[in-house]
Amino acid sequence: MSLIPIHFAGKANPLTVITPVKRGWRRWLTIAILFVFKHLPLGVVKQLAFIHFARWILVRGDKLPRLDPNQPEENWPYDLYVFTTNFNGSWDQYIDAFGRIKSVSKGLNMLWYTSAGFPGPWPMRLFKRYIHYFEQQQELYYNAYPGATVRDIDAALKLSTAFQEFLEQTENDMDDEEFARRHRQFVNEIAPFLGQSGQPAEQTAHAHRSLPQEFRP
Amino acid sequence: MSYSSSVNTKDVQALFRGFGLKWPHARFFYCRYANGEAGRRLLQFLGPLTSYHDLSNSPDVCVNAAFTVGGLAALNLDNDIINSLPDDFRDGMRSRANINGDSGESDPCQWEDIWREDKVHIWVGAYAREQASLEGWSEKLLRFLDADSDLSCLGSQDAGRIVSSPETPIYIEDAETQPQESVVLEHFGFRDGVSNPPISGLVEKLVNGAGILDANGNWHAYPPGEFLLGHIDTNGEIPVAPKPAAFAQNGSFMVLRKLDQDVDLFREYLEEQGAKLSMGPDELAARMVGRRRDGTPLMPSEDLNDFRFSGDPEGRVCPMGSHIRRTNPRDSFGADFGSLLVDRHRILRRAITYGNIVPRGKKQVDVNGPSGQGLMFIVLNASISRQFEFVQQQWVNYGNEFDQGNDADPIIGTRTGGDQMVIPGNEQEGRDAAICTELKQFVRCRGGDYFFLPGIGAFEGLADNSQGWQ
Repeated sequence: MSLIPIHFAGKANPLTVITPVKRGWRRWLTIAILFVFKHLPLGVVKQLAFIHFARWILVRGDKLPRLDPNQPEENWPYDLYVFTTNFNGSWDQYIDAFGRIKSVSKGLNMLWYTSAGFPGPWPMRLFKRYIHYFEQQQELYYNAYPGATVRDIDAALKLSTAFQEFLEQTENDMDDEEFARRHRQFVNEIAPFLGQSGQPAEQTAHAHRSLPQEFRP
Repeated sequence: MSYSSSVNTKDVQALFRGFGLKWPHARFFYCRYANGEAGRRLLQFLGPLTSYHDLSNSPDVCVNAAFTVGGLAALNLDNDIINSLPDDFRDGMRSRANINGDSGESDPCQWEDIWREDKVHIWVGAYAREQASLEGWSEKLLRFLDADSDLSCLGSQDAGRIVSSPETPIYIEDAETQPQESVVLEHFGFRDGVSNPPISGLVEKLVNGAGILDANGNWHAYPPGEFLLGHIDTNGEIPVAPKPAAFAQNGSFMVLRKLDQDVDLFREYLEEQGAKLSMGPDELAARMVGRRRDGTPLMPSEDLNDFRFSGDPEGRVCPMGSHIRRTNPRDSFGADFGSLLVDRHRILRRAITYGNIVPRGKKQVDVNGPSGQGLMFIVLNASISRQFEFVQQQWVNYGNEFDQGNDADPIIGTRTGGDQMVIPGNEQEGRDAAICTELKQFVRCRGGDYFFLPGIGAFEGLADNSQGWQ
């Protein structure tokens, strides 16, 4: 595995994969699959909640966006299937999680079923190679909370809710003993959310993400 | 989920079996050869190495050897072999410092001299039951090295397990925490080598607790490919390995780190914070580690290993940030997943301590002098970056996966200033939440490197060039 320094500030990494889908029946099947994933509460989709933010979009090859009316219209024999996601941690671990959790890998198999050359989620090496092959280089990335991961934000929100409740409960006059009791209870409740976040200057643990060895440039 | 596997134990180096636990004496030699011919002379002298299988014949001295990338290159191996070696190994541990968190007091420029340059070619680890047989063997090796002007021994390191006994108290305040049985210790006074992954076909101990946990709650041994090249791994694939296959077969990548443990500092810190948190220093130490001194886990368990973390998602019994939870999170990421998200990041630990035990009330310098005490931390894995470096980078020096934000491991983490560890309270135990602050650098890396530990057959092939690898 070679380690790629992240050139974006922050703890999150983007991943955009654009795969070709042959036109014809595959286009309609893809649209149907995306519809199912969006609207039907399948167990597989619930399991996908493990992946924080992921989007699959089909861009039609005969309706490619044009930046300028003078730009010639194009008509490709392929549709473009765009997968875009953000993750915390390493590339390898993220893709590993995709492939190793059975219900997730079944879902992924379905989502990429129509993409040309998709080898399926197993063997993992081929799956990773496929994802890596179609991965797009990211030039620009906006991160509203560079010093926080999804888990950090989640913990902060829980802490903030509990703190507001505590403030309301202790608004009125009470004796010291009662306040001490409530305060202890509050601290015990929120202790699991007290990890330090932000981006310390010295912290290098998340400054690299690893890419498996066979993909090294 | 079952794996059939057959490993030729006559082709696997004895280190896989882990004797730090059983044999009291060890000495590591770090050697260098001026050219390929000299290197092969040394290999022929060392061979045949002790195999996993030989251990049943109770040899007096058990000899293992592993190469750095410089050591393999100096044997004038074919370029195709050198180029097929993975990046992490070829970089060496020094240039991977920012991944492993080797900064501050563990910065490579503070390492012992021999590790500050790419000098070491081969690590030779000799383990013995008797001091006399180790001395005898060492003398033979050193005489051989002396006689050959193209060979040199750059340094050596004595090591040997330390064992608890009632005469040498290692607790701080609470005498109850002194291990009652005679167990192998590390220098902070905790039982060592409690949990190591079981490997199907090699070591099938501790399957319940240390193995793979499936979603139904059943335990399995690891397929050998997670630790031994040329075999099927947990993904059901043969792991990426150097080529040709015979060169990698039954080999493994070895991480060697000399970890200096500041026992005085650790005890001082525990006393100070223990008083501040009104917890007692020994209790605090157990919360930081996740086990008590005798190895008993904080999680309720039948034995030392058969427990799971998923029932304790907030770390109220065993803190999320504790050392054992970070280095082997088991099913911490959800009972539904079992250990699925952990299996690819396990390491086989073959560490052995150096220095004498520092009893309670004594200063470490009075016991061990300037050479100090600590751990010769040895890891065997199929991929250094996927296994060792991942654990070190994502789990030890970062806390995101455990909802601990940036907080690092309280014992071995790299300190960046203002380090803390959160110990959530537990109503049933009547224990309040506590945060230990200002964690210190209790453990410092003093050097080491990445090595390739070849199989017995591959070592012979390197020694006599019979495979045409040159």
